Amino acid sequence: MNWTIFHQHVYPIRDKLYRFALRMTGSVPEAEDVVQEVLERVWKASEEQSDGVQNWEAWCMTMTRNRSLDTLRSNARRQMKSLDGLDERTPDGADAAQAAEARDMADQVRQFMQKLPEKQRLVMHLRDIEELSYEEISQVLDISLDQVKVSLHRARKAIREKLLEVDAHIYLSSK
Amino acid sequence: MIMKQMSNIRELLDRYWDGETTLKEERFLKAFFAREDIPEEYRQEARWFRILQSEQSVQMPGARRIALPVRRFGWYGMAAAAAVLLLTAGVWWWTNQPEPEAQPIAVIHLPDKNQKQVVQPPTVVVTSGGSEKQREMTETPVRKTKTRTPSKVKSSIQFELIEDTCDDPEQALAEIKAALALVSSKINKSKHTLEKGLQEVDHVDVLLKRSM
Repeated sequence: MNWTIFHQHVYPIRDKLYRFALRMTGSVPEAEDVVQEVLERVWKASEEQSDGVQNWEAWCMTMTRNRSLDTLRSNARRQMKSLDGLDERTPDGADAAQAAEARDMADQVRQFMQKLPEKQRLVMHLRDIEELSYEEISQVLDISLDQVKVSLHRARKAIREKLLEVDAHIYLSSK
Repeated sequence: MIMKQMSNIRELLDRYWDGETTLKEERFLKAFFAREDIPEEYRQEARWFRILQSEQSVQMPGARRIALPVRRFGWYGMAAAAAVLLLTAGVWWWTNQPEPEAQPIAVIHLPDKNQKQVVQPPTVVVTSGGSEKQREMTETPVRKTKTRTPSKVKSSIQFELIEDTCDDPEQALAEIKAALALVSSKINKSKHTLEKGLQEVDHVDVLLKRSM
């Protein structure tokens, strides 16, 4: 890959890739490993592979998604092979968040967001946090534009209901 | 104005929750809810957009940030770099060589053209063999150079001595007189020879006219 393209278009979005990997894997070390591997793969990509790339961000996000899915599948197989059924990984991210008691409203909403169906969760992340267009989200997640819009609508509706619920809880607690 | 803006915010929020806003409108909402003075009626949305803002600022932990790949240089790249380096050094060395020219003995300031005429000293040609078997005076070209301080040029012709070899001005004057006397005698001798040659030419011319 061209050194200039890598440093102008790919390396600056490493934090976006990390957040997306973290959203998918729910684990900080695994998200870091995913990003490291993605950047190395992009760097080593041949000229033929990278010549036709129009949108470097969407291309790298797609690679991040695929690598994160590989990591999740690998973890699932490991859990299946575990004799006592216990996961040896240090729980953090989503697992830890689910186990921990919510302390404030922001944490509750974050946990709720992490509990959304995967498609809704990832569409919402790519739109509301990474600010990708519908077309880019469709490309990264390999789903249709209609699925993107429907998933985003459902995710936001669910978040809004959760906000109302938490707000009511805070109101009743203050009485 | 403020009421109209708030009305627009409510309309934008309704469209946002329905998933019908553009990226530009969503960025506007994020900027709006980043303010401190948010009305109470928008507290739920304010919480949500602050969560999004917080999520957007998440970075890879500093301790394990990835290392930049090192740029790979092939043999061709290194050879090209070395060639450019050598060429640059060669050009620099060539342009900084001192010119082997004789030291001028005087600089003549011309009054109107802001330029100097440098009079070179006579060169001495020594023939091969190591000894000075033959010396001959040769004319040297006059080299013209532009003056750096044209304001110093005066209206009359000036002679600027480059190097003063005499401490005593009277001795210098005597030497100049002697040199001029030598030049004068040479010129007179040449003039006499020329006049004699012209007389012979005239004599031959008369003889030719008579024979015709």
